[in-house]
Amino acid sequence: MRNQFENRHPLTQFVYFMMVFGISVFVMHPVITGTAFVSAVILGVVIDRKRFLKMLFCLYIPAVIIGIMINPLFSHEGITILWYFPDGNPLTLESIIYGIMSGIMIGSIFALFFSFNKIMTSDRIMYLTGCVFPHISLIIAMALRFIPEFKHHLSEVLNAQKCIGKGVNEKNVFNKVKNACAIAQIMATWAFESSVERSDAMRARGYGLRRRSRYVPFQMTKWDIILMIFMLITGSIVIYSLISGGVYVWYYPYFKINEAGGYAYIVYFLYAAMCMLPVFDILLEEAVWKSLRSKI
Amino acid sequence: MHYYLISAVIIILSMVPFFLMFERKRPQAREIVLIAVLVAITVILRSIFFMIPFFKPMLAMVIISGVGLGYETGMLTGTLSAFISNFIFGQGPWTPWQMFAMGLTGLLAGVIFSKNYTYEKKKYHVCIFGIIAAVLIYGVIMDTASVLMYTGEVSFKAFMAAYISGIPINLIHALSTVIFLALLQKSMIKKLQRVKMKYKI
Repeated sequence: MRNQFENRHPLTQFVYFMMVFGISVFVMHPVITGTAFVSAVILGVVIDRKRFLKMLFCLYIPAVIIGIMINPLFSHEGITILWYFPDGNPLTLESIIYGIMSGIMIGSIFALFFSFNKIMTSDRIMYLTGCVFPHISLIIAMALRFIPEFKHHLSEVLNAQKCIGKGVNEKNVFNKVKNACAIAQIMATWAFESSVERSDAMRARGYGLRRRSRYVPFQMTKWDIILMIFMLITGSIVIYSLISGGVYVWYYPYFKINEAGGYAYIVYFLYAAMCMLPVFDILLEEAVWKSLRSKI
Repeated sequence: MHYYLISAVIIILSMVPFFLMFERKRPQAREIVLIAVLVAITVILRSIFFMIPFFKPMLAMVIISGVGLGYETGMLTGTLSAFISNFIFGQGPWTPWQMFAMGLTGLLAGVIFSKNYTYEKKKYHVCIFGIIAAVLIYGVIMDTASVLMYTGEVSFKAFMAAYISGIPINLIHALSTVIFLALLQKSMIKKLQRVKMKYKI
């Protein structure tokens, strides 16, 4: 079943992902990066637990480990020297900390892209691009339609060629490649010719006339606007605090982080609230649904 | 990691003018459908050869469409097929870079070859361009992207390590591009030029 955040307006979802991606790529603050990672993992688990956990252990955690290991090999800055490599370069504590943080950040971005791929389906991206580039979005829509159609036609052509003894299952590699090329040519000819026919049909039905509207299957509700305003306000507060230096982190020459105080806690809390917004959205809707269900 | 953010933004912004140019032109229905067909064929070819690692036919198809139909079509086929194939294989931080590299290849192929292309005279030139595009354009851009994604720091050593470790992958990619260009070039470009002439696109 599609959950509540997946049913929101594409613009809301886009604003969420751009905010979280932008801030987590912009800064490598331990608390902020850690929050992004934890919330991305929770969001992935809430959306599709089984597949996400599989991806997490097979792909994302190895990526984090690679990210952690790469940095100390290339970066020898920092003042706390722990050890010397055989080639004489120092291994520093600062570069290890930096490596761990950059690994977690890479992991959070990968984990977030899992949710991005689940939530921002092609029709939603098409709607968003269509607002700015209507013709490009039309091309994307058509290409997405052509892919299954061509695959279907390809299987028909394959069967027909097999019938006349020119299939691709030959033992001789030379014949196999030759037959495959012939099939590719048959497909290409058919595709180009049918495309021209299709475009003539489009013209006949009035493509290119001005004052044409388009079908929009998404609705902007009151909640979408509230969520977007919330994300924009919290996001700009967090970005302001990062730029103005209220929340900062140094890795080189030595590791230093802003003092934990009321201001920093507010920023952390706002960022966590923004990151967790879809999780709250999904869980709240599920709770409401369960509480309203008839008990009979 | 500022480097990744800034470079990704620059890359996305650099593609926007071409899209806007295409929109401003108010393209004909024929043009739109033909580009969509080329994109679909490219994506299908990628999904057929998905099983063989780094053996990708996409670059060859992008070059062919650039040579056959001009730089604008090449650029659009490149960017859009990188974008759409990632709907199947998963979007990620690499998407803008792939779009940019593919689009640039299609654009250059169109600029260099589309004016006076004949198979007999230019077949080797196109194949050599395919090798250069796979190693120097696509390979270098994607290796740069992976350095920016993984280390977030710009040091000469990290870049050299990425380029050197990328050489075998880029060579397989170049080999696959040349094979597909050799197999498909003649028939596909001929068909594209015929469609162009017959229907005045």
